[in-house]
Amino acid sequence: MTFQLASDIGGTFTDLFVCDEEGVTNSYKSPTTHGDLPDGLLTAIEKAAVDHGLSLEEFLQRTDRFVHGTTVSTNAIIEGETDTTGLIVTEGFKDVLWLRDGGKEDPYDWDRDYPDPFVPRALTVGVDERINAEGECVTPLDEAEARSAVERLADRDDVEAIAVSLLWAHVEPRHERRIGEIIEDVAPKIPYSLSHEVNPVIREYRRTSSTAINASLTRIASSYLADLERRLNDRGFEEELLVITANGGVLDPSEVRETPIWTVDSGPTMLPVAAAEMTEAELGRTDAIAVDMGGTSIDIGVVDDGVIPRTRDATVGDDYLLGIEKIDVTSVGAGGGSIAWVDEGRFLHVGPQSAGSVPGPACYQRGGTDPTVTDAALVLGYLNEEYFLGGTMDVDRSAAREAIRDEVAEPLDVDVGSAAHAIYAGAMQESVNGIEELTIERGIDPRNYVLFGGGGTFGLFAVGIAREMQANSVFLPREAGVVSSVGGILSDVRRDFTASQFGRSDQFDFDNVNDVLTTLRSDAEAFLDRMNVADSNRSRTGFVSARYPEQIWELEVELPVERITSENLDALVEQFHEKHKDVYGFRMEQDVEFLDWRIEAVGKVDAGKGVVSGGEPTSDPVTPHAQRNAYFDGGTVECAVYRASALRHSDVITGPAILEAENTTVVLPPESELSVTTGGNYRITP
Amino acid sequence: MGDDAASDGDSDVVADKTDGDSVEDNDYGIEPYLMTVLSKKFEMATRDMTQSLLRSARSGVISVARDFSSAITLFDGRQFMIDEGLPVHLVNVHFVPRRTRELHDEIRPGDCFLTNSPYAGNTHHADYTLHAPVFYDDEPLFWVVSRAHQADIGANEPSTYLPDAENVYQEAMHFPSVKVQEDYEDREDIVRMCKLNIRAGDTQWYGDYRAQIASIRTGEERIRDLCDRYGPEMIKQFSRAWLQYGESMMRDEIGTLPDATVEHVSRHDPVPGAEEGIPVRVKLSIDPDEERIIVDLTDSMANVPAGFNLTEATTVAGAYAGVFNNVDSNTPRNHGSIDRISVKMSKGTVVGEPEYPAATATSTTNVSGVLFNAVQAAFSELGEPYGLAEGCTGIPPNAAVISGTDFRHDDEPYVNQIILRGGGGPGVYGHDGWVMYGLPGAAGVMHRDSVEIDERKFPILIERNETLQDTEGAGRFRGAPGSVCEYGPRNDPMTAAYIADGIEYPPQGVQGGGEGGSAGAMKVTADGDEVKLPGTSVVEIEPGERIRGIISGGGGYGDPLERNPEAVRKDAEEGLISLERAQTVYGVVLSKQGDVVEIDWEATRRSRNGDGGGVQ
Repeated sequence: MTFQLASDIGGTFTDLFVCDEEGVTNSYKSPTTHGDLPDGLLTAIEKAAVDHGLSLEEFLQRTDRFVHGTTVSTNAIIEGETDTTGLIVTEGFKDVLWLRDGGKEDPYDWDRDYPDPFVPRALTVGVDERINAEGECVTPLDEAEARSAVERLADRDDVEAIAVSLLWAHVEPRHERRIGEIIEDVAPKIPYSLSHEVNPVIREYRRTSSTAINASLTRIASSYLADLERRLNDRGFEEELLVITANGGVLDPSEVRETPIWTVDSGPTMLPVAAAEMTEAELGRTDAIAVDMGGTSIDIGVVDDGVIPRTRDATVGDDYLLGIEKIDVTSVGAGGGSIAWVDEGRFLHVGPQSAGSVPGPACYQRGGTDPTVTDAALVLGYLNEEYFLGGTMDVDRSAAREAIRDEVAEPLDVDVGSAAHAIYAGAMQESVNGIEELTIERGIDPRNYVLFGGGGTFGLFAVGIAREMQANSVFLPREAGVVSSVGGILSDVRRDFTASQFGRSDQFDFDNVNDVLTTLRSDAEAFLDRMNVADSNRSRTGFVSARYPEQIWELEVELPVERITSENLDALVEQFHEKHKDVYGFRMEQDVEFLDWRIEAVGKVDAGKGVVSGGEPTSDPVTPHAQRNAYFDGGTVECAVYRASALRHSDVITGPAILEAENTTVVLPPESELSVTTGGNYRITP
Repeated sequence: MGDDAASDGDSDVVADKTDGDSVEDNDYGIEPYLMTVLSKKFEMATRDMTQSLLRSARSGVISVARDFSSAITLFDGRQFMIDEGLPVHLVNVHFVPRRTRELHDEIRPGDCFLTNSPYAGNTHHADYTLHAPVFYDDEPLFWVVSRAHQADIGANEPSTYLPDAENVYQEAMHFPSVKVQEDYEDREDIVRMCKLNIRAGDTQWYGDYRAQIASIRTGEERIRDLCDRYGPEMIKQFSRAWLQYGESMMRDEIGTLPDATVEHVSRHDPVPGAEEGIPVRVKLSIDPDEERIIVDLTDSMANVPAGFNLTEATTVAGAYAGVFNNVDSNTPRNHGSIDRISVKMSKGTVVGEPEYPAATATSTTNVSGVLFNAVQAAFSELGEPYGLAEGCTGIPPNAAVISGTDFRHDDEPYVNQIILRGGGGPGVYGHDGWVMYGLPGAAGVMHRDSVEIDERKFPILIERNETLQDTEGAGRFRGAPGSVCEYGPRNDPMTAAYIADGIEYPPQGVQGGGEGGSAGAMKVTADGDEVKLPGTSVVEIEPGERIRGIISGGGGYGDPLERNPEAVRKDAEEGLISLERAQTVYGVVLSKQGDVVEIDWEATRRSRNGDGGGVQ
């Protein structure tokens, strides 16, 4: 028996997801050990080993794929514990990270501090040099000044890394390269990042932000991964560790060490990956909206015709722009812990404040007195007081009622049931708005999409959200609590190679563009060689960002061909027109500009697909575990309650009903129908 | 009430339904959950309109500076739902659809109107306000409105800001509620006329126009979907309730303000016809008992023969912004809330309603910014924590409209505003000034350009764009520093049109705070000489020469001697202020060793006590 593992280290728990060669899956938890994260992970692996009647060493020896999601980089940024980084920029542009690019959200809200730059001004140095938009040198690099800039930074006790980001370095990198050599000469021990290597795209704020973040993580990420690898190897693990990255793929640690920024906020990117793999395998569908709803936030991603869209606007911790083309997963601050409150105008708000897990919802009785979405679900009969988190946690429904009565029902002058329903409906609408922000931006019509989701809270809302969005199908993985880990097991080896080369359809520079594409493809090929990917499993897909002349923002379109010729250019141009029409509702018969070219190199993983099994189908219809009153369609209805553990492949449940699992609860309103798939997951017709 | 806390622990998980009747029994005649849900759905409709325009527009003023807004009004014109945009556009959209209703006897589904004339309710002629009625079952219910600043409007100068235009005849085309679409199709005659008169009309202007139309139609479709789903009666009921809610929140907020009448005067730099500058006087009366605020702007100088006059729309925007800056940000910005604010203005005055044919080309930026400043600073006269200091104003060369030909693309002409702003935000109680502030009517919402994108689009080289030391308005909460932008053409001459402000009258501090550093405009010749330029000008810059613009720093809030010494130390370490300024202005004595700055506490105590600061 061999195993595949995926691990995810969260703030509270370290999760381990195990899939054996038969497709049988299990998940294990152990408390996260802050300060020494691998320790908690090894504890979780040991639990899994014991469960399989093996020693830790035996278990690891039989593990042929280990996918690891690390939050070490994300946490370092959010907690301000990244390496102190110096920044070298073109003279005259010292405030590139402080000025940012604007876009304050509420024009009338001044009760907030302007964010500090990722690198303080005191550690930012300008050097005399200049390249122009065409990559020509306007002012040669002042070598003496560059040297003294490096010395000034290196001489400080606190500087542990250096980032270099010069204007137009993505077009002509020679000044950056030279400064890199000077750093190696002056301060060979200080890790450094050059903008044209980290993120070679136009827009200095993006590129500089990426580069500064990358430099600040170099040492942290690389020592963490080296430590983890060593300890796993010591205990018998012989294969290559794979690290989850923000492009929805996995890489081996040696690749990650060069570009640690790709590990930032990488865990959530596994959500749309899981959605893509599972909805295609089980439903044959390639369009999905993926939602993960927990206690404090909702993560949302999409799969569009099998492709998971990217964004360059993602931030970490609200303030710091990542700038890399990561998988687009947006996060909305709403979930089970969102607090409901009524303002002076007698209007009900749900959130944005959250009770979190401490003090938590009123029903937890840990000192929280504010009513939350979880309290409302308990009062409405959706959650079971006796079987909360599979019966592992005591909650008090009367405390939930009391909180809702005091804070919502009385101020609104309605009964507690209506108040609870209003909270539930408000939370649902928050989720729908969050999803729509992403679908609108992408020009997606949700009616043709599968709503895919996980997380502890999502099952409460899944059918309601699907109905709001007119999505015709809902798919819930049985392992709702570990959707990201499922995605990790299923994810492919993936790395992006990007370059800037301006082109315009009426005066297209075929030679230069094809040279760029050739270089990118050979980089991609070399990468796949390094990763030992078999030929049959390789794919290299090309993309280009494009726009109409004078537009500011680009749309990314897939390249229909490997090389661009005068014969096939029209097809590419047409692809852009159509994309523009899809997203913005109109197209124009104009020339098209092309900016950044990207080759996505993928090494497909066969193993682990169809990862979960639903067990043998039974001919007996599934019987309810109990009956309970719950709120549906404006009244209380007695409905059947099922336990997930009793369900088998092809079982069908019709609403009104409630399905209880250890880590989630699925609410099935009247007229909805749930069936168990061959993989043991849940498909719902809303 | 259907609650009894003791009844729990049994199977009666849901509250007693017998009391369900009380659901209808609240202020708004609509169930609370629908109130919450519908407000979010309409909010999403306006956001959808915004998103659609933001990403697909051509000109930098729309897609980067975000110089546009999306709104839904009731069919009678009252404001209903607005997406957050630039305050100078916000909560003043009602004038336009109102005027269109007066001018057109028949308004049909599929119509769309264009208004840019301030004499038909618009902000200024460079904002094209497209508005279309939303019908359901043959009944007109709403207007969807998209207002966006155009890159060019076909004036005699390649700029939309025309300080020298003396009257409307010198401002290019004015459209008062002109029908641009019928049955959802363009009126080709009007579109042709615009394409012909506007620079880059076929490409840039028409691209922006199409994007605005798409945005409008998106909003219309959204509202129809809501009517399909909830029924038009429910939607009408909600729209009444939403205004009522706005009123209730605003009443409550005003009820907590002090009962007072305060005044403040701010000034715009000298302009043609106002050689001493333009004073903007605000008298603010707060009546918490009546839950009403009166913003009296009647004491204003007569219209000047230049583009500096405000319009009715921009005058109320300034007054409302001052109030919204001071109330709970949950207060909805709709007609219910603004009805609690009375704006008194005169006709034929710079601030107020212009007398036709007075010119108003810069009414969204220049005197408008000064008005925003005056109202927000007047609030600070109520004492801490109210009000804001003054922020940077005007359109210095950092945000000039540049034009010329591009040698890289067969001498193709270009004209566009660049937005390389930075700094200038006013100090606020509890917080230092917002750094990427823009200007008062933009309130930090606008974006700035990428230097590389500008150099890609235009044949220019930008030499410097960063903040300047010792330009912050000092204060317990200091203003953001000012900034510099220096650039020039690469091969062929470039024209830059700008209208700076804050050179003579930089942003003032409040509550003892200091004023921000002055704005400026100059030319650096090929020999490196610096030549001072007028505050307002259209200049030609030759290759080898550069234009340099300076944005003023924001004013400070509160006495700088009360600023936390640690914050002063950090500012010095970051290079925002010099050690000298730390000592002379903030009374904090610092020493510097290498890059590290430390506080001399003993000397600081002496210095601050000596100056009567009395802190630490």
